[in-house]
Amino acid sequence: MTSLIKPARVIISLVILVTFTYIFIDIWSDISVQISRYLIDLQFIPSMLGTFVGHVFVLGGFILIILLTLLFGRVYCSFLCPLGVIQDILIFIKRKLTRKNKRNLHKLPSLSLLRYSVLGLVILSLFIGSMSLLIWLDPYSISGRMMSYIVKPIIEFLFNTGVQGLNNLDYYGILPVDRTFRTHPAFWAVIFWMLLLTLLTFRFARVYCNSLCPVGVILGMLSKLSLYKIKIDDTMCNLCSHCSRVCKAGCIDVKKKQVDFTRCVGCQNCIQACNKHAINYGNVFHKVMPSKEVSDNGRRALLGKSLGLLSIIPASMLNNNHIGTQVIVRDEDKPKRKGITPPGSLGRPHFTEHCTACGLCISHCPTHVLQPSWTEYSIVSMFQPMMDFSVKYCLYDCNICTQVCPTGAILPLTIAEKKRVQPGRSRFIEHLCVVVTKGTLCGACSEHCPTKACDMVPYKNNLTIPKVDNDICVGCGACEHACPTYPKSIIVDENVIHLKAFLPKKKVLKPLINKGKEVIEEFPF
Amino acid sequence: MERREFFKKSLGAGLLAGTSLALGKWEDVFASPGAPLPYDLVAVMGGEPEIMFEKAIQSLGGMQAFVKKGQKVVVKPNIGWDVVPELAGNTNPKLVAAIVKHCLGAGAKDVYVFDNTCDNWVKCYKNSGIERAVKSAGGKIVSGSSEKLFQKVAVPLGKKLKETAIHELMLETDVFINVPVLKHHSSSMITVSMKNLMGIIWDRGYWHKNNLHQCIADFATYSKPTLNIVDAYRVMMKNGPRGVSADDVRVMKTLVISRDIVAADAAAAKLFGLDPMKIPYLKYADEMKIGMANLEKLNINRIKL
Repeated sequence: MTSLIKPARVIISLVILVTFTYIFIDIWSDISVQISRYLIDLQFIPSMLGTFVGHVFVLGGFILIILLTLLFGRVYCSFLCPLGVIQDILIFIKRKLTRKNKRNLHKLPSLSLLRYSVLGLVILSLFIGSMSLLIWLDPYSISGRMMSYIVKPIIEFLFNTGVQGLNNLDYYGILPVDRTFRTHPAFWAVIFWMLLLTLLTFRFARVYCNSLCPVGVILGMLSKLSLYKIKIDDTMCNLCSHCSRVCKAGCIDVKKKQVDFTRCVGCQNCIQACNKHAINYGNVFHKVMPSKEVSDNGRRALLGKSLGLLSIIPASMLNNNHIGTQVIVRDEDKPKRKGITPPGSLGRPHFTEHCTACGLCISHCPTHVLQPSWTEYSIVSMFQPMMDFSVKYCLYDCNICTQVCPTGAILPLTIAEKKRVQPGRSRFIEHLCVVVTKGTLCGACSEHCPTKACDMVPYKNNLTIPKVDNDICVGCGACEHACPTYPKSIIVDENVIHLKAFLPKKKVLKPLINKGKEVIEEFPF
Repeated sequence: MERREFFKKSLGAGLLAGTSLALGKWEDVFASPGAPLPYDLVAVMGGEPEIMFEKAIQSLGGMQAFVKKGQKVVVKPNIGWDVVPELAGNTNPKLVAAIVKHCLGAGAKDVYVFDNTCDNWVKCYKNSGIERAVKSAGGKIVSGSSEKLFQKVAVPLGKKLKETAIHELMLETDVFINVPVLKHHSSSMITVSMKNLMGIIWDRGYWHKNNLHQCIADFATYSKPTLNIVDAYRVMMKNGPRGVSADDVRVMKTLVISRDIVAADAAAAKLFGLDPMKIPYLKYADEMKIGMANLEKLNINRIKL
């Protein structure tokens, strides 16, 4: 039985990685949008955040993960975590590249102080409402960014090259896609982090999971208490240390014949490596296992610890600020914008306190107006997406970012709800406008405005000039994007807390000539 | 350098105009050879888009008068906005499909359809219904939203616009069919055939910055569609060019066809209820003798269904 666990792990983990990759790189944002919620719910941090922000509870994936850990140890780390699987693939590659006698993985120091301090700092930062550490350390978000910043642009490039090839062969059945890639400092930061992790993995295998990963540390604490564990049979073990050589977490102490379960990632490599069949995976109550026993007290402690874990979620996350309840605050002093947050994110405070910057919304944004921020929000909010109107603008009839966000940083909105959200409001700067400076007609801003909040009104010399009605402006940035002047003569100011826009005014057309019939009956020429 | 590239491309594509370019007769780039037409302008009223088009093109001698066997055709509808056909922000997909079919029926080798859209082009192509219509009619829908597809050309007769980058298909095809939709427009009062040409160029911002109406007229000295087919089936009467809701739309069930881009736009302006001479770019175009804005001087076939 136990010999089947490792192949099963390899298959399941690869399936998870493939589906995870698919939801990030789906160039048509097709089925992936519908299934992403369910798949990402198997990721600890987004599932927990999503659940406690209260709007995107899907399957309670993080509860499932906690239960799984209590039963089987840190199987999450080897079966479900995309970053874990990526590391396993790197380790596999490295082993293939090195000569057999040098393939030993090292026994690693437990780094207890480091990892508990990291976890402590993460929790502390969450309590003060900062996502900064989680952005950099959450394994789901790290792998998400790799997918959306690096893998997806590569896929798009290959796809478009293929389409170009087909076009050259005179086949036009498939259209190319809009490429996501923009040169951006955030991109280089992701490359840097990826290279660093690759080096760490090549040198020390799963050291990241047992030093910096907050999920690893939490699940490690839980897996001490798990029901099923790896056991080294004292009588059969000949201290050959084959097991410790293949241990990715470096957590087997051969001399003491002990496993540090806080660090064991549940990869099952050791079982396969043991020639003597001295390592088993089984129920802790089932004989052997000289070490700790799980007593009633232990279980109580466990319950306490699990509740303690839930307290990680800061109180602010439990506030369910619904869009509909937002008050219209028309402040005369318009703030300069730091970054305009996507519709559904309620405003900069909510967004920056809940977004782990996984990049899923960036991946799926059809216009690519959502771009990773650098220092716009603040240095600690790096990577969290913002609307960049120099790239494009937010489509009026699109709500895809609100549909895919797994953490509740962007809450789900229907299209109708989204059309009422005002993440920013446009401001016309007359003295820069072409109509004023050159005395010619323009109107690019008004052309693009989906609500005609920016309309053209009479100006001198038979000209028309833009006029903004901020009651119906949806802050989509179309006007700013389209404006041909530099600096822009119409710009969008940030609503730090999103406001609610009124619906565009309706004016029914006057009926044409005959009897109000909506058909003209004579040619006017 | 760009000019030289342009020459090379044009010649390479085997354009009839290749030689005339060198002689300076660049206006004829898209003028299709053929006998004079029975009418200067055909206007149809009261039918479905494809039926009206059929009647109109028949009265001009059928599509074979414009498209010769084996020629490559580019059809340029307005696909500027991510809206459904009912909102009249884009050319009617049924009309586009009918045109593609007629071109293929006349023996066209390929019929390409594209627009450099305003909203995200993938969404525009899809939600306008034009992508599906073109594919099912046997045409080839092509992206018009990547700068690398555009090539700089000179506009020698332009007053403000001296050069601009146009879609490579415009240089590689033999026949250009311009299929605008008549709409209210916040910058150009109305958008019809001449304004629709802004969808074959790349940098619209330059036009907006440098006397938009003059640029529109200037570009019409360069780009001469073989045919202009104005879709006035549903007409956006206000809040154009994107439109806000279905309340902006009036069903007119009308279609105008002309080889003369200025005449087509003048007729459309009248349909819209405007005096063509009050629209600056039409006035400039008339003054520059690009076409005839005075409809009284034209031989018009009026068809009521």
